[in-house]
Amino acid sequence: MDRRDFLKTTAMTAAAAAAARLAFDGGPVRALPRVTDDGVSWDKAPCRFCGTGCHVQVGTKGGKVVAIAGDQQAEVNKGLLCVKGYHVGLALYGKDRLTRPLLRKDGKLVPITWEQALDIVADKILANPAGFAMYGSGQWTIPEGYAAQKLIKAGLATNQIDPNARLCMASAVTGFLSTYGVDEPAGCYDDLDHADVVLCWGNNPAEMHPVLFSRFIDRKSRGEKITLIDLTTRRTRTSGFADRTILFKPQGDLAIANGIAHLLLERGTWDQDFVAKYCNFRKRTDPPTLDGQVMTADEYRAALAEYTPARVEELAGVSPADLSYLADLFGQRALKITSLWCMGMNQHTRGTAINDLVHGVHLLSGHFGKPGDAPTSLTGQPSACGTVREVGTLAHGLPGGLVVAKPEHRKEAEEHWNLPEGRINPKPGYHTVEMWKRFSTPKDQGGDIDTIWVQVTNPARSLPNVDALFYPSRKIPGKFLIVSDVYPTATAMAADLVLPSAMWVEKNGMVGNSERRTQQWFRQVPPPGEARDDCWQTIAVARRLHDRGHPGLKDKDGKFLFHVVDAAGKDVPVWDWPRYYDVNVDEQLFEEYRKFSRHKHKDLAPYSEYVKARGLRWPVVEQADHTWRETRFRFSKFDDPYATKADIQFYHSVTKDDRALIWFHPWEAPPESPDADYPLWLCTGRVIEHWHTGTMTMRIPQLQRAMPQAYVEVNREDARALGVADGEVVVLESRRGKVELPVWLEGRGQPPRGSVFVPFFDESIAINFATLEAHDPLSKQPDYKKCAVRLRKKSQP
Amino acid sequence: MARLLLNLAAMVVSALVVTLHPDAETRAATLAQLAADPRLELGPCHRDRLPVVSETDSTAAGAQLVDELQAIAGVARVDVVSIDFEVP
Repeated sequence: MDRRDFLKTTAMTAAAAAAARLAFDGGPVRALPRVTDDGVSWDKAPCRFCGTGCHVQVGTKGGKVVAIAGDQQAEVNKGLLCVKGYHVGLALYGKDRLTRPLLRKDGKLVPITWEQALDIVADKILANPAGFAMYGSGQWTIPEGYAAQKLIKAGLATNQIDPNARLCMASAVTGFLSTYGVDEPAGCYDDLDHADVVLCWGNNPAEMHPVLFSRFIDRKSRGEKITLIDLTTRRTRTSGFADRTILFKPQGDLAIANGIAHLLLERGTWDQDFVAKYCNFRKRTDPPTLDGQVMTADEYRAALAEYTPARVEELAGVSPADLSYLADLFGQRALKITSLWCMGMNQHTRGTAINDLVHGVHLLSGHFGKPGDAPTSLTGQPSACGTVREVGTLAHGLPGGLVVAKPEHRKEAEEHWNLPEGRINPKPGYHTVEMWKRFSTPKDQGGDIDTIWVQVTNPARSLPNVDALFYPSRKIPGKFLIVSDVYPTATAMAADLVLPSAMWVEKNGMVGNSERRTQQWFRQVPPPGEARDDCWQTIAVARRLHDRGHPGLKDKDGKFLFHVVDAAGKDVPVWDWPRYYDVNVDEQLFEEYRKFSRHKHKDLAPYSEYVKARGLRWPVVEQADHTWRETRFRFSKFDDPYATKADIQFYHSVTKDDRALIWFHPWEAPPESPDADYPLWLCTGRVIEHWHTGTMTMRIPQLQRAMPQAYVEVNREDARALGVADGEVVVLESRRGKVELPVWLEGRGQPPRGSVFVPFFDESIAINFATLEAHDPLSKQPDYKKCAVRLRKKSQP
Repeated sequence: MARLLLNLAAMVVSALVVTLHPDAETRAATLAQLAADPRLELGPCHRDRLPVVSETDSTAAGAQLVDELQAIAGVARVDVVSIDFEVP
């Protein structure tokens, strides 16, 4: 058999196995051997990109990733991958990987040594610890985020740390907290295998979570009756598969949710038994809080009274027939309904409110707690849940769902970290928008953040209104930007100090996906040049601070905060790079971190259990036979070991009575709407080929060729009125900034008249110069989905 | 299952799963059309799922092929199980 035949035979085996598995919803699972005949070694890893958490098999040879396979043993993706996943191995091999630390001197970035770089970071922190902040992301692995969290909260005790996840799912967090008293979805991806109705709220999973979406398509193609409803402000690929697409006006989602609840009450089709057993009602206070104010069922009904179909049509542009259809579905107890949402509901100046309202519709109608009946938010980053939400790398958070503002939480964290009492600062740090605003403001005008260390994110392209929040800092004396990254991103190129990082399988890692699933992988290839793990960078800086006498870097017994020992209990100086992999630092940090996970019943298993598994969904609870059991459906007695008192038990209830809260929030106008000067709505988002700001996927030739640059989707009628043609380069401008980009008519997405869409993956066409930093009052998450813009021909002044 | 060899530039072998519409008449015609395509090798059908191996000159041609398959009457969906790509 020659090489060609070998490959074709292998491909046919793979295709046949996949076909059998898809056809019979199961079929044989074929594990790849550790080393195949062609000398390729295989090991598992979750995909580097989105929050779905697909597992891949990584083939390595000669210190390089040479092959990628969908992992058949992974429940999440059952062997399938999307176009990004199949190319994830190439994300490591862009030609311009950063391989040496770089310092800006006389305007240019010049190479320096790691020793010099670490000294500079330590100098900056020691010069003004209170003015130092770390800015990370949901791409931090769990140990990386935990190390950064510990440095800032336990070491420097400033709480100045926040992640870019503030920009993508903070409103989902506040929605879960205000409704159930604890973060993250109760359901899981299994719901998609059981739902009769999938309702996408401003969500386009066909492009953004394609492997999850394929579960739905698979069921349909097997002849199962399942209804997909797409509630959206523009037609997308998801609309193409939907049984019913309901277009609504931006911000209209608040009115739609209220309108459904109103009709459920009017028709008497709400689930009175479920509500009586498991729910309380709440309305917001001014200023808003997560606890709100008590309201009775009658007050709730009265508050909803104005959301008649006619009023909802006025506010949201949704017909009474469509609203009635939705209310009718929720009114049918026998149906199982799963709601999905992501940025459409979260990137919203009323993000907490719309999250609350969608949970409320499910609770009011009893569509909760059974497989297929679930309100489920999805995430966009591989560890938005695992690192940001669970490790708590937000300015107010501590690991395990604890918060700095509560004395009992600080006490517990101080015990886990063996800190002297009172070490942890009770005052939350700055949320993302505030952090960058203060970094871009002169010190004598209140700009009290003077050094930011960015890891694993690209704020120069992902912050809203970037010309106000990011770039002013680059001209203000005394503002110092440190960036750890793998490529010369826009942020790295604007930095004062650049630290080259290892990525994905160049380092050990753990992440947590959208369904509470914690995943683990081992380092499989070395990083290029002098690139090093972000976790090591944090520990090495911490050690510099320790050695220079910063008292916060010692615990109450005088030991270094990142004290690591080998199997014999002997200290290992892991801050010394050649010694970093003498032990498994990830494992030691994770074992320390998982002690926090019990407080909110987010129990994590020992590290060794994750080595064996393709992820486990928390709470993972040890059984009598010492095995570890994951939980698919939280709060449901049939599956959740902590729900013991009733069929449904919200055991972290805000009201301490095991009940969830059904909130009333009114519709409110968005902070900026189209007007005579700026007559169009702008919505931003992603495309299937690229991930976030494209710093990885735009360096993968196949993906770059497939979608080479950003564009503006324009409605044909609007284009005609403006006199612009398909492909013509136009100027898009808001009150904050402008970009030039080509028009795409009848493109992948089709915005209704009066609105446009621009993806944000293209660093060279940075749409966030135009977006708005107005944010939700509770979650502090900005609205990237709606602001006012205008278009003009490039030739027009 | 899906092996994706990154260092083979000369030929691109991809594993696909084509989901066929359940209608029997359409299905026969669709299978005949697929079988006639010299770029494709068909495996045994599992219910409505047809394993297919394709060989093309480049990944771009492979992607084009997937689009073409998707457009065939009687094809409900095409899943890519594995594709080859070149190391840049």
